[in-house]
Amino acid sequence: MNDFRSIGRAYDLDGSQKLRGAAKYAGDLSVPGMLHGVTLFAPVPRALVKAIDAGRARKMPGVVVLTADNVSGSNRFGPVKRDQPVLVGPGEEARFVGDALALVAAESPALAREARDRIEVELEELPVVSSIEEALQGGAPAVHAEVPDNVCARGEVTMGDVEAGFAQAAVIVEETVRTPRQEHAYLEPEAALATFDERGRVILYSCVQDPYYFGYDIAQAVGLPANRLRVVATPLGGGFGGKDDITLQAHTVLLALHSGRPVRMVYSREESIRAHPKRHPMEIRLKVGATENGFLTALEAQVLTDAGAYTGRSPVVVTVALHSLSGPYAIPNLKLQGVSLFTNNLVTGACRGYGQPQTTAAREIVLDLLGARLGIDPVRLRKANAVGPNARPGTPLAKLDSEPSAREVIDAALAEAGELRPPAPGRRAGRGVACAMPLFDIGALPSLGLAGVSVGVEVMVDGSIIVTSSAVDMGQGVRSALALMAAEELGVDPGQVTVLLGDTDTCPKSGPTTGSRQTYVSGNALLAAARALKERMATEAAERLDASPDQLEFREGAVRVLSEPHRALTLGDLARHCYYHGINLREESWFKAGQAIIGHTFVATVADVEVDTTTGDVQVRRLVTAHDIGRAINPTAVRGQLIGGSVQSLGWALTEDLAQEACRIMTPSLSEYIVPTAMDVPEVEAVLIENPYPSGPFGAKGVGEHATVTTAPALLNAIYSATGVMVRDYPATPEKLARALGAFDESDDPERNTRTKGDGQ
Amino acid sequence: MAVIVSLIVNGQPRTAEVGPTDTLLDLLRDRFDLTGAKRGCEKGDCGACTVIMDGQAVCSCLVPAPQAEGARILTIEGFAETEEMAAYERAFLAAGAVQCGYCTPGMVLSVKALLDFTPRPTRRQIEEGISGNLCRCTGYRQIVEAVELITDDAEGVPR
Ligand code: FES
Ligand code: FES
Repeated sequence: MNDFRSIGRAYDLDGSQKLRGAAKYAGDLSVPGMLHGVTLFAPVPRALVKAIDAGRARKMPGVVVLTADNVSGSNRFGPVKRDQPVLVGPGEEARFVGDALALVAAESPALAREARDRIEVELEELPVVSSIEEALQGGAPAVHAEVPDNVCARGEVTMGDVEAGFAQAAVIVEETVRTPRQEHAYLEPEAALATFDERGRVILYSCVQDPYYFGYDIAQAVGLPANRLRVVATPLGGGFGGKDDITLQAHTVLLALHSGRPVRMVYSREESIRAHPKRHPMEIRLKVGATENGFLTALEAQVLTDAGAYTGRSPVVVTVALHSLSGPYAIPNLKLQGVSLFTNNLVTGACRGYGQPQTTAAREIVLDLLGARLGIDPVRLRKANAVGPNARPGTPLAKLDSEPSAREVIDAALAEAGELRPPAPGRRAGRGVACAMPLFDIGALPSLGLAGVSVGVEVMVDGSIIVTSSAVDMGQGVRSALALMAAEELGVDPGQVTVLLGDTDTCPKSGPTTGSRQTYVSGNALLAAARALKERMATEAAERLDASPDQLEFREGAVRVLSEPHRALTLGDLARHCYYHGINLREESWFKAGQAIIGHTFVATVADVEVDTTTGDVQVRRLVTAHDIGRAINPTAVRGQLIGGSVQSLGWALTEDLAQEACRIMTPSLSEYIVPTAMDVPEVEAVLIENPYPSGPFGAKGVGEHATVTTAPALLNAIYSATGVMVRDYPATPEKLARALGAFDESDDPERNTRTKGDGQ
Repeated sequence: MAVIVSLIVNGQPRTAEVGPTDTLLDLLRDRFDLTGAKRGCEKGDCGACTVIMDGQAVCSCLVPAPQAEGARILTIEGFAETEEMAAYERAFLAAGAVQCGYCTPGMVLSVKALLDFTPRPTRRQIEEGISGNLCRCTGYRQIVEAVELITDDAEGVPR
């Protein structure tokens, strides 16, 4: 039915350069005369800064030191509320270990660090708020004096009558689930180069997910008119939401402005972990009611999250978390409340999935506990409650504008997974399932997507194409996806299309590359621009081909008369004609979602594990994740998103916990913060289901974040099915499991005693 | 105290003055502008800085620059010039093994070192061979598939 020529092809415009080491990331850039910048971070999580004496550092030759006094702008930034200081000055409070007190630039990084060590800071340490519990306590210190109750954001969603729903329930399950703070652990730590153009404007090259947002927020913070700052996104060495917020970029610009020299800053791994916002840790209290037959009657929830020291993206993450709580299930009665609390911990922000992994992690394991109580199989329980044509989901953001395929994805994942294989001797095998209906931003949420995006398309004089968008490529393949879509629409080979991304001078504003949105939003804007050009070109071609414009098609590099494809004009000839006849072949189109709802995909993940019941060691054997993605513009890239996302979620389920004690970081580097290696990865497969999405470009939905949502609970459910132990406190480390399995109680476990003796210990 | 180091980089004799705490990674990136070797952690955790030193894959961030005296170093820029690279490139692109690409140069060189010693590795041997190279994007599966494609290519038979 679909005779696509470009859509559905495997295509990678950036791969060769990256493979050859030729791709230039921000930290690889250097220009003559460049200085190296470093940051003096707050040495303690909370303190009043009394004085900063940089006299000794400033005496060093060629050294530039900046403190808050040198900042002429607002000195504040933040995506929702500008409450985070660029530099904390004397008389102000440092609120977490990622707050910056001073900046130093010098001829070499070593010299800059030496100068930094000579800065003397006088601090009065203050008591910290180190956890959600502490933040809630009456009499707790206020992290921000103007917010005495430490409440950063609240949210609430109510539908139906939750009390009536519980009254109808035969069984009610109440559980508290905790999910840890997650570090993005992209391989590329943050880096930036700030330099000047020939008019003295600042050019900031950096790994950022939203060049326009960085441009305007940094400009106001440092006191530059927005048109004096150009932001160019370099290839991102991974982003996952963590590069959607400002870290060293404002600092780099400040150092360049004050030294008059180009400045480069590169974070170490430890600095990266310290400075950029993390996935919100959450405590989720759930109460679920169901009839004897397993039909869900009511869901009540309190979601508590640790915002960290500043607002970050908490208000939006709380909203998304609440609206994703009921997932792909039609639950008639909901009462969902969320609160985000200020602490002196690391700031939280965007992290792949944006609140949805946490709520899904809680709901999906509680459903298995409920199923066990009712004696109903987890798959049957999920299918019985799945949203469908007659069973619609509850929350306003969860309204559907595509056919729900919640059951279809479960069947597809199970079919691909096959039978659960028997375990190795001494181990127990189990299978877990988890489902979700993750959202992607179609540009309807101002808070997420800053509604409305623009993309430019230009047909050059020889018929080659240039596409411009301020979307950024972080390996997810938006460049290739836009090339494929432009090629399809204009009837040319993808090789004819050049895609320029991420530059505020040359690309129109396409909003953040977050929320799994760019294929959808930039794709739609691109199509609008390409269609406008086609219409214009068809009018010209019709005259020359002696046909009517609606008889023409754009195919194989030419404009052809539909019934007689040999009557054709090459795109090059047509473009040249337009060039000399004053026909504009450059178009920027604006796309804005016409409806205040959000897009959804349907996801089911099946996980098979083997557990050593003595040590608590978990071997993941198989992961299959099935997604209804509308249309795969580039199937290889989509598969990459789904498998990569699954493995990130595997890490979060089993090992990753960016723990803080007394607001200090307990896992400061990749030696302590353990992400999966190739040895930890099971057989993992992605199943793509393509039910075209009516408003998507070529039917495509968003896909980038969605595999991070279901894998973790599928794994915990698998462990539960294997052992009978449900871990409610992610991650399911061997220590936690072994303790729960009673293996540490030696008197209970003769086998362990024997082995200990046999080892001669 | 500066030290003079002479070594062979990608077949060319090179000499540079290094500081006593400089690493081979500093030398390659900051002196020779060979930025294909990436900084990811500078403590041996991530493998993004992997180069081949006298035939072995090493984390260049862990090699003190003075210790590279007389060594033969192959970086991704050098490997990219070889005929062998063509098969790697085909395989990595076909498998979808490159996403953000930050791990990729180190990954490619770890694979090369593996295949130099074990031309037809098992799946487990591949996983072990790249286990010192973190990749946060791909989930590794496609990288393992790429290595299998390379070896199939070399033998002319699919496994
Ligand atoms: S930079 Fe060398 S191992 Fe990470
Ligand atoms: S491709 Fe991004 S870290 Fe491997």
